Amino acid sequence: MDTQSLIAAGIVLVTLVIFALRLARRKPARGCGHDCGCGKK
Amino acid sequence: MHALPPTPSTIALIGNPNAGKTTLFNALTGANQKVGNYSGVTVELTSGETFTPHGKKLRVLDLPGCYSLRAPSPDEQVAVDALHGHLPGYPKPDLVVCVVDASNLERHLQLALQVIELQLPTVIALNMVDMAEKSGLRLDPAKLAEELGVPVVPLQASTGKGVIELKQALRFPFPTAPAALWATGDGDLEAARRAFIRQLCELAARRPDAHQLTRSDQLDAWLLHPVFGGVAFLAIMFTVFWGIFSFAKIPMGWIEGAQGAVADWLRALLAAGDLRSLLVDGVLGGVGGVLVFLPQIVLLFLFIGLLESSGYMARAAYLMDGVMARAGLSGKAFLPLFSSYACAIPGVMATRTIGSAKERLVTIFIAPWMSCSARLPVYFLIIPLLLHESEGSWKQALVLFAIYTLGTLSAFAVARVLRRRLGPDPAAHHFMLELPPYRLPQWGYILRHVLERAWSFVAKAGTLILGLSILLWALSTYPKCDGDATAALAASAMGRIGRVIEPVVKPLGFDGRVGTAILTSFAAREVFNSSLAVLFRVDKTADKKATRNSLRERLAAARWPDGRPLFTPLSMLSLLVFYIYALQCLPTTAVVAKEAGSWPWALGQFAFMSGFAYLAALVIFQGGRLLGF
Repeated sequence: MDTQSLIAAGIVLVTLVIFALRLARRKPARGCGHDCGCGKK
Repeated sequence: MHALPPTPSTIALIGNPNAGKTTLFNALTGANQKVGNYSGVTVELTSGETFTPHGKKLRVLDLPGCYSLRAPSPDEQVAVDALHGHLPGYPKPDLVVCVVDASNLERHLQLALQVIELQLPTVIALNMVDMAEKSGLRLDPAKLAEELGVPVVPLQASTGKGVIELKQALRFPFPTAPAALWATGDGDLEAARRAFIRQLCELAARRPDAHQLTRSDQLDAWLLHPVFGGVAFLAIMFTVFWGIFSFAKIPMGWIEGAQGAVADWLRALLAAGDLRSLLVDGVLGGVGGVLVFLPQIVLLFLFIGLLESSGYMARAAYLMDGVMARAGLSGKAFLPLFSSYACAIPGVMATRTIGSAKERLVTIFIAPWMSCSARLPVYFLIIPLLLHESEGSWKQALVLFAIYTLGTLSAFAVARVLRRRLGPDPAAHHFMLELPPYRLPQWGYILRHVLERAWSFVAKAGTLILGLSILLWALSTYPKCDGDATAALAASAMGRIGRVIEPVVKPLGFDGRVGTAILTSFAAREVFNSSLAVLFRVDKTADKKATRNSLRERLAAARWPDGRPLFTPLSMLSLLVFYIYALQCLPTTAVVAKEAGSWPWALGQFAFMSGFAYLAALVIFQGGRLLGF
């Protein structure tokens, strides 16, 4: 496996871990703007 | 021994809808809560902090607007509960600031008298005195204060004039609870209030004898005209869509240029390999495929801000009342539905202004069919494929206008059916609409609000979309196989998913790649663009110009294995129709469940809209083919 492939796989792995952690920590959204892009907090 | 710091006193801002409570709240606390020149903008209680001129901290509550303390709708109930100290986490207010529109004193004082009757220390904030005086009203705040028995502070919350004087009126000790002089007799309290207000206005708010036609009245003669009003409404909406396409071209070109330059720089810096592919095709292609539409999003919110701030929104609600009635809804449903064009979530929450529970449920059900801003990147990608720029921006604007119209009319048709099935209300609910005077736009607020929305869009692109783009790239890359780009994609996880999905989406005119992109967009609609950017990537080409091609050009060149173009006008129409109807927003489903108080209602809405989107796209594509397109 070359360096580029290793780094790319590492980035994908880190992203997966971040998504998994965020999903595990997710709290019920209150109000609006958390995921919908409407900006009002 | 140290004394515990005293709990900050609580001040509640109450008033009729569109009296300027939130503008005053922002001026007092330095917050940037959404304001608008129409009623029903605030549907939730908001809390902030301010300081008296002597440095004492005060907690300020911005309550939803209400016409009386009898509270027929959920948002008004919040205001009434807050005044009585019945809201969990909020104590009974130590002082009530009753915000009153000086130019509508007779109506706004009705609520002020009811608040005074509660025997709570009260201050009257006489807002918009400039507008009132321009209309010829001669105000005497000192006389008002004397007759009501409470301090009256004239102010202009939008410019901050009089806010210092109001803060001085909030100093300790708070004014004592006044006696309600009009409520001493045993007769009809409503009639006593009306008589007192009439007498008060004769003394402290005199109008010149002859009624003067204000500039707003003159404008309304045209803009609310039964025929010209409708024409003006359509013309304004079309101008908004045309403006979005016309003015966004130049900044979009800059973003695309910058994206191309960064891609070229990365290609020069890194040899061909996975990291280069991840950065160029995954990150830059995925995030760029969404970010390039930032100028259009900014323009849309700028136009919405202008309409809200000028006072035209209330006129639009008035004009639409007749149309809404045909759908079994009242004009009260218009503003929540219009809010849903920006985002369905605040739209669903704004239905709290609707008194009828059945009408509210129906409005919540149809709100996601008002095309929200998250759908725009998909529309902006497909419409220029359907109609090239050389055809003219007005034609593209017409297609966008038709998309919004189709979503809205379909929503009204569903509302009509649902409203009939739910049956009539046990009690009549009347629609009362405030028609505020036209005002010059509050540029500071509009620009802050547009920046907030733009930042939210960029932040989403830089977090959720970035993460998903990386994962999509991984899915389209692993497991790896030797061979050209097409063979590698076919062997990847994404290629396999595409093959599973293709039989389901082929009747709609899409191949497995488009089907996969649709599937990924259930996480967030904009991810559709990112997925297409990853799935239709151009790599390892000797033609440098080809690598600079925009996603749109790559889609235009996409083919079925037999060489037929993948994106035909019919398949693109089918795709647009699918996105008009599909409910691909999990936060919206969660908010619908909360507001409707029913998960089955929210899940039923999701299933209905997804199924309807599929069927509508199927009818368009297969019908079009049968007709020979």
